[in-house]
Amino acid sequence: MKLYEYSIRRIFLLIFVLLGVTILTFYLSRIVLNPLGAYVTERTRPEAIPAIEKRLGLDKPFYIQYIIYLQDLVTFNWGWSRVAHMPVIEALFYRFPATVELAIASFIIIILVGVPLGIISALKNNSVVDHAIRIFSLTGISIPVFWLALTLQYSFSYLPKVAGLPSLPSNGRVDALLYQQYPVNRITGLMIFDSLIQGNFIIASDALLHLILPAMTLAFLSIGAVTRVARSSMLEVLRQDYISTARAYGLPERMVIYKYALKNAMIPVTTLSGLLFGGLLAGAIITESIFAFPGMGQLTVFAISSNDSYTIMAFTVLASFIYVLINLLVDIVYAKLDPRIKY
Amino acid sequence: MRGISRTILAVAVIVLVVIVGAVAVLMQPPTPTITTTTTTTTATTTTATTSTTITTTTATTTTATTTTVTTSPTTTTTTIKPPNPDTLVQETIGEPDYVDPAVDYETAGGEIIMNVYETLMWYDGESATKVIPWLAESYQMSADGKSYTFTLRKGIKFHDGTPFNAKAVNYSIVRAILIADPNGPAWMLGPLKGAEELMYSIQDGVATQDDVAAWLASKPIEVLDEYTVRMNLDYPYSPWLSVLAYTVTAIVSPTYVEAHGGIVVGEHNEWMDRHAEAGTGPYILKSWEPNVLTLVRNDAYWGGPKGNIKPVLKTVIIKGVADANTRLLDLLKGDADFAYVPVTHIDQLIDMTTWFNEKKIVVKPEVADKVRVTGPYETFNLDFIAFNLNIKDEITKQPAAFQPFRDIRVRKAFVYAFDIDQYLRDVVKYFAIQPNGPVPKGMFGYNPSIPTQQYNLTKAKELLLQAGPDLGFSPQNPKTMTLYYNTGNLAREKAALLIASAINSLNVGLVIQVVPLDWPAFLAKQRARALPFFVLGWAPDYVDPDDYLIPFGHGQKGTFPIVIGYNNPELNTLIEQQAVEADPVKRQAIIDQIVNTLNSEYIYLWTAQATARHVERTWVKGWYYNPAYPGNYFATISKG
Amino acid sequence: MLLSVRDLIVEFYTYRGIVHALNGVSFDLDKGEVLGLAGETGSGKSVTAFSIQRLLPANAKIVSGKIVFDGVDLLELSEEKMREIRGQRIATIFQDPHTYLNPVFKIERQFLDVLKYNDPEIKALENKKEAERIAFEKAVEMLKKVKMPAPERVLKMYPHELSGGMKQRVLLAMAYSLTPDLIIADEATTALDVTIQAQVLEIMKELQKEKNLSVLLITHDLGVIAENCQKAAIMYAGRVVEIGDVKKVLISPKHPYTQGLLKALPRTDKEVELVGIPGTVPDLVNPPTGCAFNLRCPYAKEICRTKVPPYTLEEGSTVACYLYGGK
Repeated sequence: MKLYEYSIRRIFLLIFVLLGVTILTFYLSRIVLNPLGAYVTERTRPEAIPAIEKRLGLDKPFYIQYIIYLQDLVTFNWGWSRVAHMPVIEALFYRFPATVELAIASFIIIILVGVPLGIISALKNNSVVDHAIRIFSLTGISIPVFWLALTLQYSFSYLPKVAGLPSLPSNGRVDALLYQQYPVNRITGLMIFDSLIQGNFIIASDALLHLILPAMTLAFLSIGAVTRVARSSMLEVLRQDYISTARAYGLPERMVIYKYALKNAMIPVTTLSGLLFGGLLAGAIITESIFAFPGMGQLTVFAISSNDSYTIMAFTVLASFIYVLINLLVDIVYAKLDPRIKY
Repeated sequence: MRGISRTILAVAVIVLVVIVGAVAVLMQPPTPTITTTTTTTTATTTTATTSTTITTTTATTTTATTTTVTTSPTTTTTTIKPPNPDTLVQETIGEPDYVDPAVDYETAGGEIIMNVYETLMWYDGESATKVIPWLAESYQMSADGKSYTFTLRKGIKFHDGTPFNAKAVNYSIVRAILIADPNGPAWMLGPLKGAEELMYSIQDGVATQDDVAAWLASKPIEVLDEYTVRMNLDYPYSPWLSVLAYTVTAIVSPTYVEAHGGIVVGEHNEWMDRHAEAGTGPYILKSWEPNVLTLVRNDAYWGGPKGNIKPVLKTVIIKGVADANTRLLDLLKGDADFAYVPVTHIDQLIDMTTWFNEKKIVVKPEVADKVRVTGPYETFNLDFIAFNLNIKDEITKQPAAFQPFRDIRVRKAFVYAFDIDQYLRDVVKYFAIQPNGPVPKGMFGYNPSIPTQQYNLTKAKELLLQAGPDLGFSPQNPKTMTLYYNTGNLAREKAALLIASAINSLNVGLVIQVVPLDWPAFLAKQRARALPFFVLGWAPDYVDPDDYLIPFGHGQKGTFPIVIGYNNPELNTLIEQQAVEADPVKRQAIIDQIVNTLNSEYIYLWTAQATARHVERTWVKGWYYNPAYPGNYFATISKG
Repeated sequence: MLLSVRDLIVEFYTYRGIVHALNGVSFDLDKGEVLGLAGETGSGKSVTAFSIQRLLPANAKIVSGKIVFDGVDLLELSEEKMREIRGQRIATIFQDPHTYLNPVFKIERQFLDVLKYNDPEIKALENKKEAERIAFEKAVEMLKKVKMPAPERVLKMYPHELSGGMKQRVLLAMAYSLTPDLIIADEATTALDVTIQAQVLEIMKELQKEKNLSVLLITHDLGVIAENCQKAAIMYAGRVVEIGDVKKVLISPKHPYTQGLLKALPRTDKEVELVGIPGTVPDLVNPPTGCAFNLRCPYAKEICRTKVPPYTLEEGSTVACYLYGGK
């Protein structure tokens, strides 16, 4: 019950967070920077500009503009995105699920690779394996994204194809031709999920293949961090007295490590994972660019550099929403893992 | 124990470095032997011999000098078969803004519109100098030049099955005018009776329903019968037929538009912005997902004026792939048939030594059986530096105190100071030619005998030292000026840096700072007339010298003269004259006069007219270049 | 003899150098006997306890010695076999109940797992559900034995919801539930306040009598030893310096260190001056040569500085001191 109330309270506070963030972003994108740039070109007649400003509502005082914006926000009238060339809502509805899919795929890889590596590293502390794993995590953090992306493309997409072997697709979210032949109705926007529930396995597997290289690229960068945290957390836990108790009472070593130690060790890893996942959801600009993956990262960068205020406001709201939710989720999971935490 | 761990660590690091190095080595382009073995030979003796010629010439090129490369197989018949002969994949940067011909004003959207919709007049194949009747069968111009009557072709249907007729022509053009997008190409329809005035009032937000009704009633376009339509202009305008070849006059199905939101004065039709399935053209836009546009063949296409255009490709997929390496890899592996390869990456496909020395495009032997690169083609894109004769302070909006460019000596000096050869060689790698004036090469009106601007640093210094005392700058009392360029364009950035360092090196008391601005900020400063001088480019709208002479020369109507405060009434008159001159010889003479006048006033520094290259897989057939096209015309293309 | 430790030498490898934690510990413990192992912090009491269980940390090494338990030298056993000994035959109750229970698992989980993996009856059960149930009942029974109120409720709680005394009783219950032969209580009551301490000791006494267990009671509190043990062993700097009948050791101590300890205790019957032992505990990275106590001993002789004194029997107590024979 306590946890439920706590969650409700946090979600309620979300509204205030959103208000604060939107006021600030709105101010920056409308008042400090001139949003007009996204709506005129060098050929626009100067005489036509006041009318454009009027239509965008730029001639009104700030607070009125903001109130109009809030009204539009709740009625889901989020405007036209200049950089996405479609209504903002449509752009988000397509691009955000794409980023979600990429984020989930990367996240799975990160956890499935990073956590076990960290644990092995801790269990074989100071051995060759430990050092090897630590070097590996260091390379993960140090390698530049674009180099990794290009290398993976070259190795798994270009070379095999040229040699006549099966290869992974190098860009995009799904093969355009295949999608024409076997279209999928967009329900959630998650390509794999939607195609599975419609029984369209061809597209589901194709979309999965397209996810592999970008997800690997994104994952590689964060595996290092997770490994390090899992490792140090596990080492810390194994030093604890209650592990001695477990051993002193004759429990099998396997159980001591994978049941008793692991649960404690996972607590900091969970916090890190939550933040990591939030970061993945914010979109990965370089990865998305190189793999031409139509996610939020690309959209974000274009919108900011063109000062496309409708798009900027929309994803600001979205990002704030995500971060608050993710943080709440992390706190809840944390509380479930560690019974000492009380809200 | 610890010592051993350390050694192992060191060994691991060394191993890792070796692995990284190995990967770097592997990332060299593939060796010839690999590619030739994958050719699927429909075994004939001729193909066998061609493969051997490939291997022998590659063997020689690895050791010999570049002179042997001229014998390399630019005309080899390829034996690689395309895996999907019915589908063409094009990879480029960016996406269209809109696919509605009434509002789209950039090349990506233009490419789609060009394949889906058609216009009354169009270019015949590769020629950009002549327009021929396309959807129109014939036309008649009235004696006073203010009226054009078109007889339309019969039996053509839109993609939705409804018939193409005079009503549709009227509807489409009126539509563009009523939407009156201030950022769009509708301004080109200005010569139409009352159109300019109406569009201005719509854009300014003051037009009423009555105004619109009154304009329609004044019959700017008359539907005489089902297949005859007459257009009435406010003044004789010889480029009007070229305007009718531009995408803004593309004919759309009225039934379709009415079923999807109709016409709203002053507003985009959001559906039409994103959908293009109501044209008469050889392709239909089936879907537009982020980064991916899919065109499908119109099986009922009428065939073009000669009836000989039968689109072969069933599907055309246009992908926006931001990263040049990804596009290149896809091209090389056969997943892309067309790819946009920028100057920065072209050296992976063509031999740069031959290019630099002979300006000939020769594909590298190791990719010659896969990739074909053609060109260079002169585009109509012009890059230039403009001098502001009336610099305004951005905040006070008053004319600035220091106006160096009002003095012709300063302008002349700047023009002399630009090392055009270095620019062409180092910055654009010769993928541009030096323009001699506002009219680009390849367009009617271009006169090759008009001299280009010269690089002469000594003269530049002389002039500046002369002008210095009058304008208040000297080596002891230097004045600073800022040169702005918009970020995202490397060539413009380099041009700016080039002229700035040249002037600064002269030490005459003029110090140039170079400042990048993002596009919206740049535009804002330009509108405020606060740019002392700036680097910019101009791309063609319709193919007529008018489209260049006005923007650069006309003091009241031209985009740039207005911004820089240049107004030469004589020049204005000449420009207006040439627009109505029907005799091409007489017109050329007037144009020559205009160009020479402009050049003698040193208002602009002409930096480059870009040349293009086309990169495609060797199995593609039927592509040709037309500088008037915004993109590729897929109806004549096939694979196999 | 249930447990016989002989000349146990244990070293710890640290950044500062090698710490000679145990320098030849020897003592015997008989079946049903309660031996109190006393000494200051750093004397090696806990190390001895961990050594017997072979639960020393990774940077420690048992260099030499014998630990013979029920006829088997524990130091020769494989880890597998040692695991069978731990819990089922030797159980340890640790010092700080707060840190010795896993905070993220309920008491029942920890308790029942211990029973399921050690109790031969429960281990033999095929049906997992059945095993859980039987183990639960046994746990409740044991908790009642340690006088835990509402044992079923307690099992469903997390460690942080219990008080220190309750936690210690849980650990006690866990230890006794396995009916080991030897219980090592390593400062088991030190972290508790006095009243709880008394309660817990009381319970331990009862359980010990009931099952005739052997107990190695490790503490620095001589009072606790006096009340609960039959034999007492005094440790100093990694060696047992005096061991014998508790009354003999505490009333007429032989070793100067023991004497010093007792002199430092306040008395309730009469007022005496408290005398401290001069000097400090030796640094075990560089232990002194000869008798470790020689630097602080009022009776130190030349030989004390050079040779480690052997054990001699003196009026029923075994002492390692040159005052009582030995050359």
